Amino acid sequence: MSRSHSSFRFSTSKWIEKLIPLALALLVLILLAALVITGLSLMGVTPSA
Amino acid sequence: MTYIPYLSTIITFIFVVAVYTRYRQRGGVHLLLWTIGLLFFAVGTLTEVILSLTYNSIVLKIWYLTGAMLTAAWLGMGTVHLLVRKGSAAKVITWVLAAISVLAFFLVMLAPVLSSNYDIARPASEQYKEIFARSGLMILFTILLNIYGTITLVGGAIYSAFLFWRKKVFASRMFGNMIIAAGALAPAMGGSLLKAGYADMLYLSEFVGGILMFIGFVVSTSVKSEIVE
Repeated sequence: MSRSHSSFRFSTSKWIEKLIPLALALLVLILLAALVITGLSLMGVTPSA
Repeated sequence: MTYIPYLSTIITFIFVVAVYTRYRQRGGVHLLLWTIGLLFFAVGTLTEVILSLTYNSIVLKIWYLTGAMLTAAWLGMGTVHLLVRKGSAAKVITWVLAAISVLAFFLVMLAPVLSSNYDIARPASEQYKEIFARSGLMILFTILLNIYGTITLVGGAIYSAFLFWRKKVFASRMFGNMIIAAGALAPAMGGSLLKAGYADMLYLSEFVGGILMFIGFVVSTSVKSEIVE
């Protein structure tokens, strides 16, 4: 059975529409935090230094 | 806390089989590279189990090599292959990563053992620095491989989820990628906090990360999200 990509389109409720970009932004922030902590430990300003 | 690596090992080995089975069915270099990365993850947690029962310096070194150095980078390499389809950049980076991984193997295996005072009641992450000496190059590779792996694996999953959200297609792939990103962030954050000396939650973060990534993989490969041309 052949189906195009448009067959897989989805619609979301209003609150999910707002929640998803917020969740993605939060994930980016946590990623940056992990990288910043690694950077700080490299610069020797963390307890492990 | 010592039962956590047992659970992590079971989950990650099942995860390895699931991803490898999908690779056998569908092909795709990214699935093979994810299998390799997950195998490193599973071996890393298995060594934690062994080190909770008995001490062996080689096992501790394998734990460091697989868990601290190679897992994130090889998983991220799979994501790079999935997202970068044009040109040969992904292939070239894979060979560079393979060369660095071989070098890392020799660096870790040849690292001098400082002490045999390993306490099996404590996590390996708490005491490995006292047991064997890490050269500057080893530490540099560990940091670079983890930064590369974290950015590509987590960043790639977030980017994929964003694309699905923007186009409003494949809801299960969008949610699956978000769960994978959250799962990959758990051990990344655990490792960062450990490196910085703030808190040792590595075993727990590996467990949470393994479960979340597996759930994300299952969700994003569920029947509803399949592309049928």
